Amino acid sequence: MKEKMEKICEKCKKNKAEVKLVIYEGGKKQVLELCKECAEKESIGISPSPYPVPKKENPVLKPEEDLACVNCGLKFSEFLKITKFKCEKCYESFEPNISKIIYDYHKAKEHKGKIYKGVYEPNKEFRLRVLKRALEEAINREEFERAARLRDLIKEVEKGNDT
Amino acid sequence: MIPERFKWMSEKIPFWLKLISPVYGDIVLSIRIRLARNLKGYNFPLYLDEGKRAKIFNLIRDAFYSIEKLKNLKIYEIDELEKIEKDFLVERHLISKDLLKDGKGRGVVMDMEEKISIMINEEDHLRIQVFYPGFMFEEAFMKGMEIDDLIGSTLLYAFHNKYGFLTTCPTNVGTGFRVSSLLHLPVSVLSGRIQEIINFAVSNDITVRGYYGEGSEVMGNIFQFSSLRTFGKSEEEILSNFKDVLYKIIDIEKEEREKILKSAKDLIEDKVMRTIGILKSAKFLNSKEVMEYTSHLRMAAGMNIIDINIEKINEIMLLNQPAHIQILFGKVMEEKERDKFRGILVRSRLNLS
Repeated sequence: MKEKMEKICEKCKKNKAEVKLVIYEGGKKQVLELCKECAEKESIGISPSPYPVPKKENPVLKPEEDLACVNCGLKFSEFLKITKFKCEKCYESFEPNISKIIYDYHKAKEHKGKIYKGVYEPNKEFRLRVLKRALEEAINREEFERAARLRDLIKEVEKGNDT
Repeated sequence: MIPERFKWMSEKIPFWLKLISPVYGDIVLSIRIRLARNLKGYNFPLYLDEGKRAKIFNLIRDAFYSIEKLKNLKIYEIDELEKIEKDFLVERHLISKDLLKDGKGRGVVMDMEEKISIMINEEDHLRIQVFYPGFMFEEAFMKGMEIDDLIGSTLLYAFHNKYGFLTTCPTNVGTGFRVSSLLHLPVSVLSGRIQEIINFAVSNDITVRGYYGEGSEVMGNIFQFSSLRTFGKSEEEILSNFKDVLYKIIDIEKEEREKILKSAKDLIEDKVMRTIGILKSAKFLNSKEVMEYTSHLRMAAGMNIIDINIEKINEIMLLNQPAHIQILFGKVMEEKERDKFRGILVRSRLNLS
């Protein structure tokens, strides 16, 4: 029997590594081998970093590239520091950079989903579609209580009542 | 002195912890729907001074009062709350810690049942949150959409044809919609499959965090799963993807439970009996260990090893927290005293004397 080399924790470099921690940063997978203490500190909450722009590697912008928002005056370079917009007009003011940043993060080019109309008119068809799909799901999984609840809800919506 | 304002709340369990859906009551503790919205024509909250924030807060508050269906909601400005009350609302999962930074012109709107909590001037002007128990995704979704329509027909939202609802952070743009759930996965943790679950969730655009969300640690085997992308997919698709992933995770936990019941039922029995022993006799209990113990009890109850009402266990999990204990007993307490009262509380609620 050959003895295996004991792995040492990559963080504190002292204790024996007993936990493999998978971290996703900027969508890249990273495996850390840590001792129990460090792993607990790191916690198993592991999330891909939501920021498409790595904070340390912000490009140095030429003055003519550093656009300012037409409405609030926020500079593109200031936006990049914390990736937070100052007003609704920033989105268009910083184009074409913004579509790229949003694409890098969401892997999509345009909004799909609720369209804002500014009026209150509960969409009956939409509600029924969501509920009926869920009902099917509940029946398939033999969740009879949930199915019964969804049936009642569907009846209410069909009658035009609020849920 | 402890203010009395939230005492009534500390004496009851919020709707989202009720056991309406016993199928998963011990695994899916609760779900949450979140919508991020901003008002047209105003800078986003992050860049506003408190005067401007207060103006927006008042505007939103007046809008709520003018909407028949929402005018009975309770509205608090963060600034008017004492520190312990703020902590209480964070412990209750109704608001985030971020809302507490400089509370002037920031606030929260909520209903008596705690189904709804709307944060005003957190990172966005409005963060509409809806909380439901178990697997009641559709109910939560409908409610969230309805509140959104009501507010959006009274106030004007910032919306863009290509980018959808505009948010302070590009990570929330589009639908502004996020769905999340608190899952209790004790046996997956025991058997080591938790890492597989986490990897599976992450590879499906779902982030995993601890009990209090971002940057918090995992306690009592409770993990918060939340959908990640908000743009380029409809709310329905995001919800449906999330449910599919959750079903798989629930199935893994159930599978592990069945396995352990066959191979090592006495191990679980031993674990829970020891826990009951400690809860019966310990003079001092700290909040972290109670979190761990409630997990053992919930697991054993879910596996029909003991007969304890899961709602009671969930209630203890909430009351276990520092601000909760002080508000419930109406007394300012240092840590050691809280530990003593915690023991009394657990024994009386679980009839373990």
